[in-house]
Formats: sequence, structure tokens, C-alpha cells
Amino acid sequence: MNWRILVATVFLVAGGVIEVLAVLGLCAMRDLYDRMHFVGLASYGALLIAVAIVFRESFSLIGDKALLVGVVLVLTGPVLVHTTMRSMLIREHGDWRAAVEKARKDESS
Amino acid sequence: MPERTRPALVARRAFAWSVGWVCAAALYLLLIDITDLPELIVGAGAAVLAATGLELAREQGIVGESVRLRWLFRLHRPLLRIPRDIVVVSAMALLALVRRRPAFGSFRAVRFSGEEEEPYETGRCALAEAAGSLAPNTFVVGIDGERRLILAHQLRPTGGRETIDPLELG
Repeated sequence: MNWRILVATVFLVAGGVIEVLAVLGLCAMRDLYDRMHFVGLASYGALLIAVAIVFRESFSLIGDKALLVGVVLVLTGPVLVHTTMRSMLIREHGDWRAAVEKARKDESS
Repeated sequence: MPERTRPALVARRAFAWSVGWVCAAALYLLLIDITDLPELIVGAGAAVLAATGLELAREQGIVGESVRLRWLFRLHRPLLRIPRDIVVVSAMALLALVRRRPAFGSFRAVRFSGEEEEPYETGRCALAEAAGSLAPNTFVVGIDGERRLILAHQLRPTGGRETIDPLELG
């Protein structure tokens, strides 16, 4: 077996496992804010799969696009979570800063 | 900010537009991967639109953040945290399967002091939010400028201030 295929397989399996765990976490968690963390996890799974494609196909059209998609997912995932969390806090409290005081008290106690 | 002379302003705009055009054209070529003349002409046209839009936004101050180079010296910290956080969040997914709890994570607010002049202050806050949210265990929700606190949600509350503000910008 070619070493590149071997490395690609390792990345592919790791990425696939992370994606499965992200879906499991998303389904098993009860809290909305806890669930949001699995969006971040899923984007790193996608990045590992993209790296596997680059090892398999090298820096070709397919490899470049896969890597680009992976990087875009990793960079936009936190933005999506950040804005969604803020929106949820605003919906719950009217202002996201309301959670700051509560978190501060929890932190000091 | 010192007043710029008109030729200097035009040169700066031309340079920013050119950088935008080159980046947009390179991205177009990367996505299309065809170097036929019609595709190159379409790509050049699309890059003109993208660079003009970017320059218009930059002129209006919509993308008016600036970042100091020294802030990036600790950029390795959030990057090194990513593998560890992937393991932590994966473990929490498995834990949630066996232990049913209403919530595992919690919000944390830690000190975020210091102040820079604009546009560096916007850049400092944006960079702190981006760096803090890079690893999946922590997501920064926002920076409360009045209370000088940074609010983040951690799935597994762990570590001190450095886990929420890894670049130590506050």
C-alpha cells in the first residue's frame, strides 16, 4: 500500500469518527448552548476529511477545493456559533450582556 | 490619524484595490482551475467587482479593524489547544450518552481590560473573540466594554483566563 493512501485512510477514519461523535453529541446533549459546540467539532472533522483528500489526490482541482471547503468550514463555524449564541441570549434575556453578570457571580462563587 | 496628501491617498487606494483584485482572481482560478481565455476574462471581471466592493467597504470603515503585529505572537496558543479540545468535546459527546444531565457547559466571564485607540480597539476585540472561539470547547459570546469582561461558553468549564483569552489581549 502506498504511504499516501495509508495517511489518507488514517485522516479519513479520524474525520469520520469525529463527524459521528459530533452528530451523537448534538443528539445527546439537552442544552442548546452545549449543542452548539458540536458545530465546531464537525468542522474539524470536515477539515480532516479534506486533508485526507489532499493526501489522496495531491494539490489538484479536487484536493484544492476540498482543502478550501475544509478551511472555510473551520473559519466560518465559530462565527456561526458566536452569532447564534448571541441571538439565543438576546431572545432569552433581551440583551446578551445579561448573561455576563450571572456568569460573573458563578465565577466568583 | 495624520492627514494624507491626495497622491498618497490615491496610491493607498490603488494598492488596496490591487491586493483585493489579486486575491479575488487567485480564488477564482483556484475554484475554476481552467486557464482558457474566456474564463480568464470572466475571472478578471469578477475580481474587478470583488476588489471594488472591498475598497468601497474599506473606505466607509465597514471593515475598519486594525491589528498590531505583536498581538499575533501568541497565535500558536489557540492553535495548539485545538487537538486537546477536539478530544475533550468528543469525550463529552460520549459522556452525554451515558450520563443524562440538563446541561454540561456553562457561561464564564473573565477580565478583559485595557483599551486601544480606534481602529485598533475594534481589531483587538475581534481578534480576541476569534482566537477564543477557535478551539471547539470554548466559544466567545462577546466583550462587555462597560464591565471590561469577556463572556464565553465552555462545554467543559476548565482552565483559567488563558483558555478564554489565549492571546492575552485583555
